Amino acid sequence: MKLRTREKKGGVLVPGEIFLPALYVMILGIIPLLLIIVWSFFEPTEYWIRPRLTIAAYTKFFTLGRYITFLKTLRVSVTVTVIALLLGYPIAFFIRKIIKEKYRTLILFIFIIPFFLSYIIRIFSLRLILGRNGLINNLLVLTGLVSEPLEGLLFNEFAVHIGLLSSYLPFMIFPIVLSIERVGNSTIEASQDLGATFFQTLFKVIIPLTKPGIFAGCIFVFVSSLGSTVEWDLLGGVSELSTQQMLESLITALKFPSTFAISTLILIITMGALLLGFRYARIGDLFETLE
Amino acid sequence: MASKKNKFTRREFFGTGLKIGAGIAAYPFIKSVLARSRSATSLFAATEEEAEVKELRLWASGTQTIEEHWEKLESDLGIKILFSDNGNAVGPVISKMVFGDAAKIYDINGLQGGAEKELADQGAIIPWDMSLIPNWDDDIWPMVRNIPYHTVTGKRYGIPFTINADSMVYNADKVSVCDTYAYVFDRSLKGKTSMEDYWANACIFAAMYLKENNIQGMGTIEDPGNLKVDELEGVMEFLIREKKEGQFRTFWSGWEQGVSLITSGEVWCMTGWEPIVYAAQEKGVNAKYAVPKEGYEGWSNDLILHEGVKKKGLYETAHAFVNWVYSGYFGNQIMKMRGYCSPTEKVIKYAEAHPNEFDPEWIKGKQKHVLDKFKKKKGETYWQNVRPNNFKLYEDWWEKLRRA
Repeated sequence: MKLRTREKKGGVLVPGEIFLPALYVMILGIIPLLLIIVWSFFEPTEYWIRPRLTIAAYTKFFTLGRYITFLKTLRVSVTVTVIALLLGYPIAFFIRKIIKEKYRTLILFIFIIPFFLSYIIRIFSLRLILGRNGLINNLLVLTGLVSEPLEGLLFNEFAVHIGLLSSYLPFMIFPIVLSIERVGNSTIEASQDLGATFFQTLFKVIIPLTKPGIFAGCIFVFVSSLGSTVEWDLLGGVSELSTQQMLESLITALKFPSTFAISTLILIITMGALLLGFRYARIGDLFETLE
Repeated sequence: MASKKNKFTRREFFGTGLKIGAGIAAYPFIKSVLARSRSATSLFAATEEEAEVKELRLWASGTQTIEEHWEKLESDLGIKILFSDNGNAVGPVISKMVFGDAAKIYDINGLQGGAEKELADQGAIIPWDMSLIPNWDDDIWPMVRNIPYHTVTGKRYGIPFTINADSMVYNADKVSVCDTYAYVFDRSLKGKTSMEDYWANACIFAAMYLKENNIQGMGTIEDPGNLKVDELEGVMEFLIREKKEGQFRTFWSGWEQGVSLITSGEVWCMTGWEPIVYAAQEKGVNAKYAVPKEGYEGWSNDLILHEGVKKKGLYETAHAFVNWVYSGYFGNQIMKMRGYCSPTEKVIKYAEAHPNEFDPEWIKGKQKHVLDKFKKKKGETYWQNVRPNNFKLYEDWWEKLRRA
């Protein structure tokens, strides 16, 4: 059956077709976000807010040191994204270009399997691996590499990184696999035939062509890490507090304008990253592969 | 032709808008007609069956329900409990009651103790008429009669649903005898201790330790559960210092985390709940519950009466429910299901009168164990308060501690 085209000449959607989806996005997406921004400038009352404009919530963000937690979460999210990219790109390339097609689905499936488990249990199980009497420490002691179990594997920023990577690495791999589909073997062979080295082919041909996938993966991992709680909660220990945990604590204390102010800042950063992606990495091109 | 079909004219645009608008406008009318037809049907059914069954909406911590066993209340008094979990996060509960409709939608709340004064001041709850609760008699354990935050200006707003007293869980193979909170802060256990990740628990334990041992001149603390500004500052600075020294392995929250820290050997001594000890023992760990010289942190989950019940004509029904809670059956069932204690002698009396329903010896042992915590304690019992006078400052300090 041929699908009825929903496009006018030139590929532009007509208003009638987008009226309801646009209404849906406005009501459920854009209006709540705009309200969060506006409410962040409202004055707090004992239990809610009132429409008197103030920047107190933003001032408190700095004076009460909340920016420290915010910047730390941002830094960890960036680090996790970079590590995920460094690990994820070769894995994606291996899956798409090196291994035989019949094993490809199996390998991708291996990365999906952990998602069948409860999110909390998955993170919790890392404690059994990284803990004082965990798998790694037992191996290290058994092999005589250390005499005492290492304390620094769990309940610190390192453990948070491990937790976030284990949760979000597949989000990096899948879009890159998708984007590598766009790079035909003939393109790589042509580059090599013209005398390009491996690294020249990689940096001048493959990576530019897979930029949309790289950026999509980075956005998925970065935004997910920015909003994470469980990894920090279960693996972070006493000193590791994420922005999300801080937001939960602020909501419990009914400090709504501060919650909205921090959410606004997250929104600005996320939107900024997305705009950069659309502008420079042509993230939209990723979906052309599907056609 | 196709392009004409797809063209969205101004007329069509307004037409679609009008249809949606009409739908939205008609929705409340349709809803009310449906609601009326439903209530008419249910009224008819009630007349046919049992018109006297009254429904009470109980909004409480998820651990306070006896689930299908509420049927006993229905068969005894014709009161049907419609239970909803309030999430046990005090701030949002108060917000929903004062700012939202929760005080009208639900009839009775089961909330960790301390929020009574604030809710009463805001008019969200009303006092109990104790003359309508005859089971609040001499069988009630004396120590729960005078929990400070249950009364406001002489009127009783809070009645304990369940109570207990908490101290420390420790691994007896690693720590010989844990009889003081000093162990949590002992440098020989550096990196092997923990506290709960919630200021309402951590602050009171630290304050008890500082007060009872007069450390840093903190012997003057009046109520560890309701610290003044300068007292709170002293306690929190002490905790921040301990944290910076690396004394705590982590802060824990939730049942699974509490059990896991002790059973995995990550933590040897931590402030926590007694059931963690039993769970750890089942897993082969020689865990014990401490009897600290500084005393216990008592807590009560309280029944509070929402202001909406009078208008709904459920004032007497709500009191009848609480009276039933104190008749003994509920205490047996909640002990059997959750290990929580209802503070009345009627629990044991009921078990003895109904040995086919409950094991009287087991119940007696459990009830006596909790009672002994209060009676044979070494120190005072200080009551946990989830809404102390300076609670916003507590939140700020806790945030500071977590960042430190």
